[in-house]
Amino acid sequence: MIPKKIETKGIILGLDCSGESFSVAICQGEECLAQCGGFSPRSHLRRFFPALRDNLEVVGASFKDVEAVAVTVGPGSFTGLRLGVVTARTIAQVTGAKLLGINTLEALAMAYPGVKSLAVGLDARRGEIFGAFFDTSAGTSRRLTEDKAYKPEEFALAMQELNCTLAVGSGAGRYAESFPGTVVVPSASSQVRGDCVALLGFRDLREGKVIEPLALLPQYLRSAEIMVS
Amino acid sequence: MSNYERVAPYQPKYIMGLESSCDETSVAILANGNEVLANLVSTQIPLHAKYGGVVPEVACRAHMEVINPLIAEALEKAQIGFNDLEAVAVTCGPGLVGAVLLGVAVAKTLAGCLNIPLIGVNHMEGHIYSALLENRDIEFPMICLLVSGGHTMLYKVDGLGLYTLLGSTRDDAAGEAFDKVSKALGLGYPGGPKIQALAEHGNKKAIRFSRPMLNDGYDFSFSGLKTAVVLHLQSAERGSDADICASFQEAVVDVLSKKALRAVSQYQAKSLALAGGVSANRALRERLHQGAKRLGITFACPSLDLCTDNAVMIAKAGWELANRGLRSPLSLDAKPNLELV
Repeated sequence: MIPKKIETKGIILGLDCSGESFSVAICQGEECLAQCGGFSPRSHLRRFFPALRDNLEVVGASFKDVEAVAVTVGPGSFTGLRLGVVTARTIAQVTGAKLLGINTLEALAMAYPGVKSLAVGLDARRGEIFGAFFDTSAGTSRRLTEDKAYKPEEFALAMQELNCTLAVGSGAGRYAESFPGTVVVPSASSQVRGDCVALLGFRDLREGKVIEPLALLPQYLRSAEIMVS
Repeated sequence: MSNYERVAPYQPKYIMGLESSCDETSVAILANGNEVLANLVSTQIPLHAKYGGVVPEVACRAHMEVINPLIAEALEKAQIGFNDLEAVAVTCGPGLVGAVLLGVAVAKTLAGCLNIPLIGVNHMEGHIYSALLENRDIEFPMICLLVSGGHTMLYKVDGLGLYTLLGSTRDDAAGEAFDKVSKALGLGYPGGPKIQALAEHGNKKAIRFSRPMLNDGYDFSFSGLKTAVVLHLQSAERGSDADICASFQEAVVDVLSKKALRAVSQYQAKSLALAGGVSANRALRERLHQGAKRLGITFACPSLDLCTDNAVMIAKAGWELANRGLRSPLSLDAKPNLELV
């Protein structure tokens, strides 16, 4: 592949490590220049940073060209979220790039435009789904409900109430049989994409929703207390 | 997959060390391999005290909050900038997997953004270097006793990077025994300092606890000793807590020091080093110090602030690895069960 020559300014990184796949996207404005990732349970640490560096190289850019870093902050796997957030935070700390924290469910919804009522649910283990509903009919993800931990049957009820037609995410996939009236996209093909994270980051950047790099933390949606024993 | 790739030996002027393998987050900056410009440690002991031990998820969240601010503070303390760093060393195991992962992720990002070598360091090797940092005239072979809340290891060190494991614990680590006995006595966590404090007012000969595996090779076992203490607590003539603490501590010190000194004799070691969190125990330090003196060899033990987990020892070990022409790939993984030999 011939590296694409780019103007050195204005690279936005879109990073996600929140689930069993990871994704890295190198974007410029709303254009995605390179993206990679994939299913890699228990090997994010090994693959994530090298993938990011290689992709930057592919587009002929370096870390000093990065204007902003957008990263999913939750919900998601706690260890995964920490890996993504601490990497993004450190890039921002070293290079002075702006830092943007993106909601995982919103980023996932971005990949399914044109849906009036979209259910996005991640497998939260312990028999729960971290979920929310979005209207993506105008092309972007407009939030209908706040993030919440649902039991599968509660999520099914919410789907009915909101006339939901499509459900995506690892949680929707795992408990697909609980949602008979809704089309469920299998988990493997509904993973967060880095370019969607970067797009939302670009939006936040224009709106000035920049976060002080040292302050960005994952949004766990579950207390650490529950993890005792 | 190896943790290292071979390059020409290099001597990073400024090396940053990162440590996050258990319940301390630490960032250090070392100049020229021996001058400590910064050593910041954020301990989580109060966070874990109410659970009586380290809770991994609580530990990871706490590391996450402090690690980047500590880096900023360390650079400020050392009065250098990111661009002055010439290498970054990080604990890549053993330890809590999620906690080790955070340090490694930060170190990779620093190395990748600054285009400097990344050096993964075995936490245990770091502890060995903590004893060497302040004692530069160490001669080999050296016997190193490494005791902490998670480990009890006896190594023969024939030179930098040349280790033979002589023995380790078959059940509880020495520090773990301190924690468990402390819990049984209702003294709280961590047990080491609490038991040491009470022991100073007690008679170490009051109760004759068994010395597990004393004459039996170089392996250790502390689980039986802990049980003996717990059973003793239920007996009619239990005596004072101070006597129990003093007698228990004496049993642990006895086993650790006798085995370490026996190894010194057997391998004709020229020096003896003590490292790890339990090396903060005064009775143990004193006993080994006296033993080494009697045998006419050098005794090396880190100062109290370098006994517990810290990043200076990681930076120091990283510097030595750099000198040997080693660096780690950016695909470096966190290895919770990483072994030294």
